[in-house]
Amino acid sequence: MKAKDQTALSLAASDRKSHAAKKNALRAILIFLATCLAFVLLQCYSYACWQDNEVLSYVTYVAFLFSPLMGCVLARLITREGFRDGILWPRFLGNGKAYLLALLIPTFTGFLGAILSALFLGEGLIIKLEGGSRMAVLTILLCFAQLYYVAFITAGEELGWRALLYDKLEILIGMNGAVILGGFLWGVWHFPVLYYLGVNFGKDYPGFPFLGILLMCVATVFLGAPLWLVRKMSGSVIPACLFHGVVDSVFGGFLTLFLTQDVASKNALWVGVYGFVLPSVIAGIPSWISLLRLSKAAKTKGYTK
Amino acid sequence: MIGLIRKDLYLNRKTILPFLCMCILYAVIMIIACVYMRGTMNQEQFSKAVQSFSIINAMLFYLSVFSVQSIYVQTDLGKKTRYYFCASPVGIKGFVASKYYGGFLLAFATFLYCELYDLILSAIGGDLLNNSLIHLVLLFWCMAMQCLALPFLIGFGKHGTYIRTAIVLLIIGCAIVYALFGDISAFMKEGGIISVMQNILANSDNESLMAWILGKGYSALVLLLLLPHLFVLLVYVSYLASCALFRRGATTYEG
Repeated sequence: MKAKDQTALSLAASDRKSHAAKKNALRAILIFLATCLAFVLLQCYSYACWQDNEVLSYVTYVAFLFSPLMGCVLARLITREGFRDGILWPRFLGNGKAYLLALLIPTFTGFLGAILSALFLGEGLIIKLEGGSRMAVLTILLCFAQLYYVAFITAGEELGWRALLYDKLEILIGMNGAVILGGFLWGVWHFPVLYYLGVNFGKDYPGFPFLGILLMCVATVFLGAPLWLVRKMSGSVIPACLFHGVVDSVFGGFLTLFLTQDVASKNALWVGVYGFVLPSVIAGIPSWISLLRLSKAAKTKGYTK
Repeated sequence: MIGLIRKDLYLNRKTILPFLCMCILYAVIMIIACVYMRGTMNQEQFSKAVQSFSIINAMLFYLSVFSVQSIYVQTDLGKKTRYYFCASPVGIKGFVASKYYGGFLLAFATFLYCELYDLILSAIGGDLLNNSLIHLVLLFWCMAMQCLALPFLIGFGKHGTYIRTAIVLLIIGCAIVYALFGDISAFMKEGGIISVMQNILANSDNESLMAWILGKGYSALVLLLLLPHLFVLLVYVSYLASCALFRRGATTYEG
């Protein structure tokens, strides 16, 4: 009878703990999303009304890019979670595999995307750059040289999405739910650049802008899986920043190898589908499976980074 | 790790805070000067003046932060601290890494400060200043110098500072001797490094730097594009050397 009472008491305590954690996670998510939404609206307003003002539009764009980071900081401050989890530290030691994956997965999938685009659009695998192979070497080197700078900019996103939202969503709706809902929210966040600038899919396609947003959401749902995988493997957000940096710098760069500017702009939607969405799905599925395995292993060991 | 950086920042508060105050004060004075200058110049002259301000300030800040970095990394490198960290769970690698992170943090904060400063100047001038490339070059220079200096400081304690100063003085001395008695026509001609530096200071834009880089030919471009990766390699090698020299520093440190 005594043992039974103790078990019931400990179960109730763990229930209370889990309930408090869920409540805290929900609060953090709401604060984070409210911040992101505010900057998305500001960016839309900026594109609509402040395009003439160079300085103001630049400031709002930078603020928009770093809005997930601001949301993360605000949420962690308000919920008093703080920054003691050390997610910003690179943690190189023992995490070489995560760093290697962060560089290799987007490089190979980006190259695959460029090949698929060239083949499906009937352009063939011939280097289209002026200057031939010498220029191709320079383009590839440039893509990787700017990686560090781009990774710094993408840190603004990763510190929000992978370092806060995905983790909190996992507490509320589990791993699969977090990948799907987190990816969807991440995709919708791109609305200003998709609608006003026509990033990734252009503007000249049937169903604009909804089809573009839908495709972006598909890409971000699947791309979120490997990003979260490297983040979970290392316990640091830096590999995810590197991964995102490679995606942003390499995907577009590789496309210019096989597609001329003219062809790319005429078939912007298909280039987006073959060069961005399809590689994201290809990279996403195995990563999602690995993520599930990692979660299972962590549960059985009772340990997570 | 965060604790170690916080400890070093706390121990160096008397160096960092005055530096921070100086930066803020200097920026405020320059901004006020810009606001007053605006009425006395036409837009083109004013834009050029503001750009020059931005570049000169960035160079000044990076030079200052380089000296602050040197003081920062030398803090708490005594014999007892070294023996303590050899035995602590953080270990030699963690302790050395905290020194690198701290130094990089200072350089990175300066980069952000310069960008913010440019943004304020842009708001005053009306034209967007785009000196990010120059700031990045300065940031990499600052971090590379730190990577070269740290193994000496960690390996030789106080003597490391003397060795580093001797090397810097030797390089400067050689440069002065070469400038006085050597053939510098290659640097002075149109498109040479001196004229490029003059262009950068006079026009103060990324384009002058970019035009110079692009004019150097294919091999130079390839080398330039490999520089960021070489920098990462330099950081890694420097870190390994610092870790290897850590115990040696403990035995040779006098103080």
